[in-house]
Amino acid sequence: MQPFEFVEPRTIDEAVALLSAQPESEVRIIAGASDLLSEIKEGVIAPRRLVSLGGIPELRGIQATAEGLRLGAMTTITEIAQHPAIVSRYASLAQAAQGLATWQIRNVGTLGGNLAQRPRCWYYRHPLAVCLKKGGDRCYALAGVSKHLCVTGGDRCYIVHPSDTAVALSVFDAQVEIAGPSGSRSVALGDFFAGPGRDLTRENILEPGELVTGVVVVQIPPGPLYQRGEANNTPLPQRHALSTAERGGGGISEVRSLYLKARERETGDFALVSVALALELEGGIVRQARCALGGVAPVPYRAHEVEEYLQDKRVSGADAVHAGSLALSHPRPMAGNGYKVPLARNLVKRAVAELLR
Amino acid sequence: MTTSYQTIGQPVSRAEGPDKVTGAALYTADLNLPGLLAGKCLRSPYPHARIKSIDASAARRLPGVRAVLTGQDIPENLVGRMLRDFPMLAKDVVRFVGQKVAAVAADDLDIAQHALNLIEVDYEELPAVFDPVEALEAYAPVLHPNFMKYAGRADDPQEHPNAMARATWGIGNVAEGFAQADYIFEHTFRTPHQHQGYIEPHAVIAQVDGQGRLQMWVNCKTPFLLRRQLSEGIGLPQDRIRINPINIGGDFGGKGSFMDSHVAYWLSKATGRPVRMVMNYIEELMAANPRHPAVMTFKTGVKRDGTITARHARLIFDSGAYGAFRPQKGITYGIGAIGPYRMEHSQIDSYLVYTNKVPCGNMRAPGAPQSTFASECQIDLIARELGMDPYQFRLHNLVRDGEESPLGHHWRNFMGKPTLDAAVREAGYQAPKMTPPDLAADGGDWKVGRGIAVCERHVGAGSSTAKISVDGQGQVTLYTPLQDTGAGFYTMLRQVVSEELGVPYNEVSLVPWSTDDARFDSGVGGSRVTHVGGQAVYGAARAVRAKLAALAADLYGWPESQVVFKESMVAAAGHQAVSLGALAARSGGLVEGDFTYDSERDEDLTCFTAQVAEVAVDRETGQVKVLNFTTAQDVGTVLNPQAHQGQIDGGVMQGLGYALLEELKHEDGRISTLTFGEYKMPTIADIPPLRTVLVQSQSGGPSPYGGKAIGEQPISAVAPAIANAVLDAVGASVTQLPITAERVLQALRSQPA
Repeated sequence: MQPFEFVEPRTIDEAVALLSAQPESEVRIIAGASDLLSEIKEGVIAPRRLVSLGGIPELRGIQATAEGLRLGAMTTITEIAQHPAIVSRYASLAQAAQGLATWQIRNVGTLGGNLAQRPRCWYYRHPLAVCLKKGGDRCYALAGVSKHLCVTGGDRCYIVHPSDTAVALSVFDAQVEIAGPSGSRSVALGDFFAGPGRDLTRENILEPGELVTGVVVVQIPPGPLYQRGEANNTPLPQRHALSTAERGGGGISEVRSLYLKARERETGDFALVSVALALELEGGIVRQARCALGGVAPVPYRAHEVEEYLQDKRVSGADAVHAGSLALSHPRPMAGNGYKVPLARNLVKRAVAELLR
Repeated sequence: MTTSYQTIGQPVSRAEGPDKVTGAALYTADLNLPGLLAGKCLRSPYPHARIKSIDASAARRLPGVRAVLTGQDIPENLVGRMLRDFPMLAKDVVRFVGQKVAAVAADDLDIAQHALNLIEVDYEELPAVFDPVEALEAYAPVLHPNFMKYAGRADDPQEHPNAMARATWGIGNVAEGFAQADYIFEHTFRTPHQHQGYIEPHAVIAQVDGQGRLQMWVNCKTPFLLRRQLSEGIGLPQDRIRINPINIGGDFGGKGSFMDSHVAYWLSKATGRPVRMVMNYIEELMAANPRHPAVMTFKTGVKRDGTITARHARLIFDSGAYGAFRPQKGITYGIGAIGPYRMEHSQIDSYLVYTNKVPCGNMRAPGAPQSTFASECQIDLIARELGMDPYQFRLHNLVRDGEESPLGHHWRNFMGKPTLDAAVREAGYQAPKMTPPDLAADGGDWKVGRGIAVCERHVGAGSSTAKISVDGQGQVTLYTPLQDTGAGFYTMLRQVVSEELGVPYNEVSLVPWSTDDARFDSGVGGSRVTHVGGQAVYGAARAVRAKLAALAADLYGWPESQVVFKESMVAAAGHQAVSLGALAARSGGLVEGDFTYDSERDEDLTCFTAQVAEVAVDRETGQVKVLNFTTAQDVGTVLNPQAHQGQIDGGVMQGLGYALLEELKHEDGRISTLTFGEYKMPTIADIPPLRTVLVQSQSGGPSPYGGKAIGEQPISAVAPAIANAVLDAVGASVTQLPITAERVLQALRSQPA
């Protein structure tokens, strides 16, 4: 392992300054370090300086705000998995956090780190393979083992985004807060991730010197909205919506969401395919549906056709099998990952059946 | 077994446990010697290449680098555990990705690593072969043109230059047996590399001491054999080499190889300082000694009533680039491949083949999980074709006590039927199959199935020595050349002492020996220790006991045969008891006894295992969940039920990983799964409820108090039991391990509609 300097700024501005002071290849943010240190030890990256975010208090914790919930970038996965408001209102996020990696990693791994996690592609991680993502001249997966790679959205590079929380957050209106040398900005979660078509060496739109400071998810109603195997038809006192967009009609709504993850072992494993689904229901009718898939694309994949199909459906009239069949509109599986297509369709089917039960 | 024991048979916890969980126990990487250097090797990125030149000048100039060695700098001696085909550092040719081509000793690991990056190696790639079946084709590149000159090679002539060993076992004439059959079935099965997955990677410290002796600390479980292998490679006589005792952080068969030991010596010699080499896990997964992959074709003839008339197994074990990590001269893998079934005609043709891949070595029950998977899966495929229940089909063909085995052995007190029946009963094999409510509710198309598999395996044999001393304070000390691999035998051996000398087991002090302190020891492995180590300690304890009894007879006039040892006292009926220490003190010093035990394997004794897996398979996604697992083991006296169960639990879990998850994935000779994120071992969350039935054999085994063996017995039948359960659940035959969801889906799709 190449020696590195460890610095611990006290403010976001200091962190940005430290990140900007060196060429991008020589500096990395260190948060929980659960993945970063493996990348260094395994020779995938060789930074000279690590900028720790551990000493910046405002990056930590979960606060209720007027817009919804603000989750600091340094919030641990365990904190998310156990936070009462997340467990009760943002079930898909809580479930994604609960099923992420292992206890030990959840205790140190952070939301920011998970959203910005580098891919687990075998070739990206291989010490002998200098692939396109590492600045090399080819993708080894094309002639190699594509079992874990994408079935849609590949473009010279065929990674899948490894983050569970990214998929789970995709079904809520979430904004990613970013600080950088030219100030702060905020982008919609869906715009934060970027496929290989934009830049082969990145998975998001962060510019050199920028860091994620937090995520804000839109307010959705309190109370136990969805719990597995338990119908909840209790009318809610006020109107809430999946998105902040104003819609006509008024009335009473509830939001249900869940996260399903297919993996090879029960813990310490990334998703082969995962599904986050959120439904806003009003009077037995789906007012809005959000569906996102993990493990299928280089970014969290929004299954818009599933959403459109469920829109305005009566709960009793929705066909889960049909919804599932819409999961991936034009999949282009590789030689060894065709199994992901039926897997994704089945998971969506199950998610729809479960949420509409 | 009605004999009653004091300590034997008690589930006592590990005497050595507290030191391990508190970190007090030392392992090789924990040791620090004055002037210790860090050693690291440069490894080949090519599966087969000629080394045209190596330029290490920049590395040598790097500050903090104390030595850089290439194949030019050390003798060309080939080394190996038996077959000596392995260059300590490659000089002219590399034959696998990960082969060592240069070594650096530096002030710290970072400098060593940096120095490796500065070494320029010019390679010329050569044609390579990766598939063991292809390696036997006429057109395949010959990987070891000088094979016939290698020391320690098998005696049989090579059928192909890439076949390093072959063996044939069997009885009768299979052609005749197939002629008697109504149906003949032929299937081919494949199994992958499995890594042992021990916590501690290979580690060694070498120091050439002031007398020019090599002092070594190394996590090798066969130090006496390693001493010889070192001697052959480095040219020092064996008595100039001392392997010091050290804890070993897990073995599972993989810690018997020399790995970096020779190179560490050369670095120490070159620098005049001690050198420590610890492999990281990338190196472990790339270049240690995993379980051999195999391609296995089974041809079986049966009559309409299900009687097996003949079986022919052709087993091709992929050795990788070298055979140096196997301790046997000829091939022994696959000897139990035919299964414990009655037949008049059997033939096993087993090959070990060179390919341009990682050299394989031993792992828990070497050879058996591969061939048991093939054999036992085919049994179910045949039973289904015949319309017979797989249990009935097995019962119909299973060797009964008193009958000849399919290789012509006469197993004593063969426990096949009672053990199989016990597994079937305990597992509820014949009960209705119910999808568990949580699965039924999740929207999948889950089907439940049950599968059986059986296997048998010998009790290990070999040689060990032990010494026991009792001092004037009553302190009992056990000396053993066996190094602790973590299997629990340091407790079991203390229990033997405790039983014989009547002292609490956890007050017995245990001192591991170096290779200077005993003549020879076979080391740990091969289901050997309870038998061989146990008998050595038992013999030493009996010797001490006899001396103490004679002393008591002499001093107090007690009848020697009536002296008893209990609660740290020595007594005889009608006399005032004395403490063990007081009696020993009267000897004028230590009372010592030692014993050397030598044994050959008893081919007429075996341990039978029968297992039943219950799985749910989702027809929509191919996902397999193991709901329940039952194992029935044929046992003798169980010396420590807790340690015994630990071996069963661990064996089943390792078998479960082999069945469902683990695979060192190769692509053109490069292993793609180089971390434990990619090479997936099961976690505790993947382990189904395990039921164990111990079926007591009347004959018992050769271990002290009549124990048999358990370390390797539970692993081999796990994968076929699960595969057979998948077959039962959804009709999908998966003939290649691991049984992943996509392979199940593929098998479902290829089913006839």
